[in-house]
Amino acid sequence: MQTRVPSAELEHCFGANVSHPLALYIHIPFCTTCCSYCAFYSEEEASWLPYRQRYMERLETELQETVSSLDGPFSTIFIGGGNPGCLTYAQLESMLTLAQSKGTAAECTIEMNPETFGRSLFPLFADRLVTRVSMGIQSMDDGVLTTLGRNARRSDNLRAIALAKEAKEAYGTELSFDLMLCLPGQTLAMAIADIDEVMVLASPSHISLYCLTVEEGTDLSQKVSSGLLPVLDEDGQEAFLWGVWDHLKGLGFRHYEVSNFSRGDHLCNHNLTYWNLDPYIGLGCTAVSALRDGTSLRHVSQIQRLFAYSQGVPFSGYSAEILTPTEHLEEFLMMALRTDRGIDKALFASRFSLSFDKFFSQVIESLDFSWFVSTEQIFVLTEIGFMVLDEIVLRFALAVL
Amino acid sequence: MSTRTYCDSLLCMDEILSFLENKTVRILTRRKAEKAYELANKKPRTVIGEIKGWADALVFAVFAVLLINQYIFQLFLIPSPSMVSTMNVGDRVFVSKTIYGIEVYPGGPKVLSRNRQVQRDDIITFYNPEYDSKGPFFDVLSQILYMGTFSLVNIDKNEDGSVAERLYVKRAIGFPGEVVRFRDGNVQIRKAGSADFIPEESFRTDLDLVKGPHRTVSPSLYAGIKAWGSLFGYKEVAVPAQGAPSYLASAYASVLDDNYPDDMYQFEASRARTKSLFDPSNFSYRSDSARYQRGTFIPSGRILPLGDNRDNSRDGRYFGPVLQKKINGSVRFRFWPFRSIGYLGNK
Repeated sequence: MQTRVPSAELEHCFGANVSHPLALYIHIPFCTTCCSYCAFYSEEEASWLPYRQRYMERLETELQETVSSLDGPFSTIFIGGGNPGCLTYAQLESMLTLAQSKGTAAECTIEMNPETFGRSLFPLFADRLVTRVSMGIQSMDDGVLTTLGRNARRSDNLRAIALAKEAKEAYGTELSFDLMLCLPGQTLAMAIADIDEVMVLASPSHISLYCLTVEEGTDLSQKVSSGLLPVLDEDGQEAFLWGVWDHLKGLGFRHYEVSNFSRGDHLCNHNLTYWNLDPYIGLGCTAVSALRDGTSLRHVSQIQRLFAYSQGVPFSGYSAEILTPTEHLEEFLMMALRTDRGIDKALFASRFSLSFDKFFSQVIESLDFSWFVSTEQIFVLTEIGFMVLDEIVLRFALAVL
Repeated sequence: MSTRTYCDSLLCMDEILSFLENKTVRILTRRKAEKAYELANKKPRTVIGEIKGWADALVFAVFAVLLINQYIFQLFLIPSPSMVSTMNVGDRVFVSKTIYGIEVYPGGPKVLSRNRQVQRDDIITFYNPEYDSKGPFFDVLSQILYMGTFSLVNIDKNEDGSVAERLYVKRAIGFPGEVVRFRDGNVQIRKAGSADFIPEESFRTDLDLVKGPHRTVSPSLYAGIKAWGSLFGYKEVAVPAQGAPSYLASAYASVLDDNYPDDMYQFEASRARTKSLFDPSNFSYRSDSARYQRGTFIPSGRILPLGDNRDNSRDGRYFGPVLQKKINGSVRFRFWPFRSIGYLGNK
């Protein structure tokens, strides 16, 4: 057993002055089965089961030391995956209690697959260890769910939504449902029916919509490239997205980020941390931390493999990368343009000592008028701009180079 | 000249009018004329003709019933007590044949099933995997008779005269990725993506499922059933009964009056365990025993069906998970007996 100087290792990994407020992301890379579209890092059950306990032990050691170096609670916490539902209740409870031992976070979200969402999780909501549930519903249609290789069936989704509603009514737990769009075999009418159904059943205050992207190396990409599954072209996707966006606006949702919608001010505060490039610490394998020292941005990432992570000494295997000013600027643009708050020109000036309007005058001139709104204070994309976000980000990025 | 033309045109007009009149009369009286023609030419009623007419109607009716039964819904008579408390023997139920897609012919492939998966807790009907077929002709004939007589006539009998169960009705309990095992007759489920087995009751409360399944065998009997199984194992590996530990004999005494074990599955599990303990090098014994110890893993595309009357049900624990493709319908509604009429599907 090696002797370690905890704070020194923490400092070695995350830098000397971890600024406040700080958000926390914990990655749980366990899945029952890998979905056919998923390119995130996760391991299927048979391979991770023997490592789960070790993984959680290392995670807790790292979490313990991170917490003890803090003065106050984390601003927000997000437990993502994988499927955190693959942990036992005891593991979840001990992890969440530890993370909030310096005080309760303003928002603590847990991702959960419908098939693992049950009444046994309710004590977490009652104790306010978890205040927000983000559930991967994806679709209410069995055919689409099968194509996606999801474990849940329609009845699992229905049951989980009913239970989530119960949690919301009993403990005020915020609900967010993930739905997927532009899927093979899915029509616009089906997507809208999905939204209507979840709205009627549980009336969530937050909805995330993800367009299917066929990532290389996934099961789905093989089926698509062999022509077994038809995928929408760009025009088709655009029409699909407009249909769904308009429908959600009709239901009173605010389109506060390209793929996120909220009712009232029930935004996902944790995700706002990412989009504002505010500091956050990521624990668990493949989790990335982003920390700001003054004006520079450090990305700290962890070991890629579950097995190496589980067996390594806590705080081993981290690698840090300090972004160059150009990369930092690009990152800022890429994130800020995603939101309906857009770029705060004063903040931009203070961070990069540049005038946004002057520096990007040529780019802004090249953009269509319908894509953005620019005032003295802000530069923000319209929904039409969101639709061509990639193009706009590319033009800005080329200007930075 | 002018008068002549005038007369001609009058004559002409007359012809047109009479033509129109005749035509109208013919159209208006056509049906009557046809009937009169038929009457004049009708063949006399014969016995054979009458029989033919009735046979024609009957064949058509049976054919229609078969089509409805195969493709839309079937009225089904509950033959066995395996679902007792949810459905009793003699209950008549309505089975939807479209809910998981449409089976092209009895026992054949299903079409339009992509968007219609079996859902957790559905009461499903499927072809008995252990059914001893008497050949395809008999199978189809007995099905036709059974369906054609609204499930009143079933010529498909076992050797002892009991009705052979061609279709099974069970509850869909185990889903892909899960492991289901039995401990003292109690179901334990390991959820997909979980390391731990949990009792079925907790599982069902956690997920808000109906309290369908129930037990009848008293837990106090299990010591006896296990001893019985073990002693049977001793006998099979040719170890004399006096060589067995005395606690087995005393536990066995408590079930001495029974003709057969109340829980056959537990009996078999104990029997297999004893045999594998005696001869660990025998792979057949070992795999038998491991099957009972480790439980049943449900692979993708299959469902593990279990009866609600857990202690009196020939179900998935014996024949394993069934292919979802072979699940052809779901019980939705009970219409007889009248006092327990009601919806039986998943909520």
